[in-house]
Amino acid sequence: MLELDFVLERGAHRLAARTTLPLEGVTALVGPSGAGKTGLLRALAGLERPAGRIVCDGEIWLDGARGLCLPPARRRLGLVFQEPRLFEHLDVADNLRYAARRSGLDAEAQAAIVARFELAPLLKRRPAALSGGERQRVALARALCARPRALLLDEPLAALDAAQRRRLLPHLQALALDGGLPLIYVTHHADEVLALADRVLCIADGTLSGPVPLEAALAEPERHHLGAAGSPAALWRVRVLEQRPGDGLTVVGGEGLRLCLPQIAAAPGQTLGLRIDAADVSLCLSPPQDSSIVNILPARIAGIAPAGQPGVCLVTLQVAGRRLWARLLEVSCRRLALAPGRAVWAQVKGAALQRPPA
Amino acid sequence: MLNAADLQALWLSLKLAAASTAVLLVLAVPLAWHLAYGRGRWRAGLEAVLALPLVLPPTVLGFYLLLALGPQGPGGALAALWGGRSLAFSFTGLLIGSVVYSLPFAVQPLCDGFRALGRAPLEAAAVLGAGPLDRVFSVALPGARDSLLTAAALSFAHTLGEFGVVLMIGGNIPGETRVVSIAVYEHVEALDWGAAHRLSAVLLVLSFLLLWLVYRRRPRPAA
Repeated sequence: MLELDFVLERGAHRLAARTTLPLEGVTALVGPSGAGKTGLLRALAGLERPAGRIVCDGEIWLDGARGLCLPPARRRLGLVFQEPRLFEHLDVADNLRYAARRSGLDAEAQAAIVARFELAPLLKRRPAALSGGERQRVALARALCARPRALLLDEPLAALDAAQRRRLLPHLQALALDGGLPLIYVTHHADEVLALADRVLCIADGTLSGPVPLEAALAEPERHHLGAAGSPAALWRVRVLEQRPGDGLTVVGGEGLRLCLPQIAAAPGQTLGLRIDAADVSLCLSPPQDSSIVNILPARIAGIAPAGQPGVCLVTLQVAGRRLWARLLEVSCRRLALAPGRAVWAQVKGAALQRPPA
Repeated sequence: MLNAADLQALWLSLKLAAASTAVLLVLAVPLAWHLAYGRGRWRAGLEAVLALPLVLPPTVLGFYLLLALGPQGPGGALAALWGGRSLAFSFTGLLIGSVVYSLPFAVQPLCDGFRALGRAPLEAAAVLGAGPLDRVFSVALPGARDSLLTAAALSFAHTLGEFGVVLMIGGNIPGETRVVSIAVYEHVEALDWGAAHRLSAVLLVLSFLLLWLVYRRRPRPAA
């Protein structure tokens, strides 16, 4: 639990933050550019010294009145900056070791991180010999080697081109989907990781507001700078189960889940990200027998909120422990008497399923 | 080739340059750090003071040093601690003079190096759990390694070439303050041009090699 009550001034910019933030799951930090999102992360990490108080799980990090400010090294928050900030004089292995040695991470756990971020072929290289995406991957791995209690991510994809984003995104999604490490993720548009967020923190006009649960934020997308997020997309990690070239299908799934989509080039067993747009999901109360839709999943309604457009609502669903959204007309909701807690069948249009764009 | 007195002068010059360089690096790192990263309101003043040895005539610098090191100055008080009367005209005095005289040559490259490195890697290190001193030795100094080498080489070479300040505060005591530049001056005064030639050539080659090593290491700007 992070308790914030401070004012951060940087030049002409001023940010007032007064809130309590659970340190768990994924928190998206949104707001227009220049609003102070980076400043907030820096203040949390201890790189800025605002006036006020920060308390983390009862441990006082900042107390202006007592002139107390815990240095970054003792806050144990990981921070991945927009640019990777690797140590140019060390190779990749030594960059990781730099963090691991100071956090007491054992060699085995370090090897696991190397494997997870597919860094083995890069270990002997200097940062100058890496691509932008590779550098950011090393920066993420290095942050994990420091065994942080939470990871702050400051638009780690912002400086990358489309191909590099596509390469790095699955790693971020995996981090978010793992759920083991609390993430605070800065973004200024409703992107894929936002779809994985549990709550939204918002900075506007120099003031921090929230956190609000994602469902509530999606109900007022404009106010929460979520842009067109009135129609959010779920993002799932799935495994390729089988290829059915005869039908032109690829079957993916895992953990009680089976989905068909137009055939993609992927080997069985491979994991990939799958984007399911809320507009491509419809609901019925009993499993349909004669639907054109092949993907019919048992689901439970977690919440219903206005979708930011008159007559349209957004239903949040739980499917095999994953989140899915359906964008429906309000009349349909009323006719089916949809309500939180109700069990329904979600139909996902197979032809609309796609891998997430970078 | 070189006679015993000249060899002694050469040895003394090298000893003085090595000692000055060692002292300078220890002093220059925190000073350059403060200039590069500090926010203190004394920064501009400090920068100006540190650049003074570049513009003042060595005689002016030497004169003030003579006063400071002499029996009436703080140097005299310091010397009194071990029973001396003055630090002027001693190796220690010469060392202090050299350090002051060559300070800008150590501080400037280091300061540029720290500035080029920027705060970014230091912040990254702090977040990864490195304390302040840890950051200096694990990130700042290795990151500014080329500047450190440049600072060391320039300090060394500049001390070798020192003349005016030495003349003012050191005099010409064989084995104590008679360095190469003084010895050359003395040979010329005595019209012993052959000896002056030989000693000058040694210093010329030595200085060239040092500077060549510095500039060879300096990376070309990326195309």
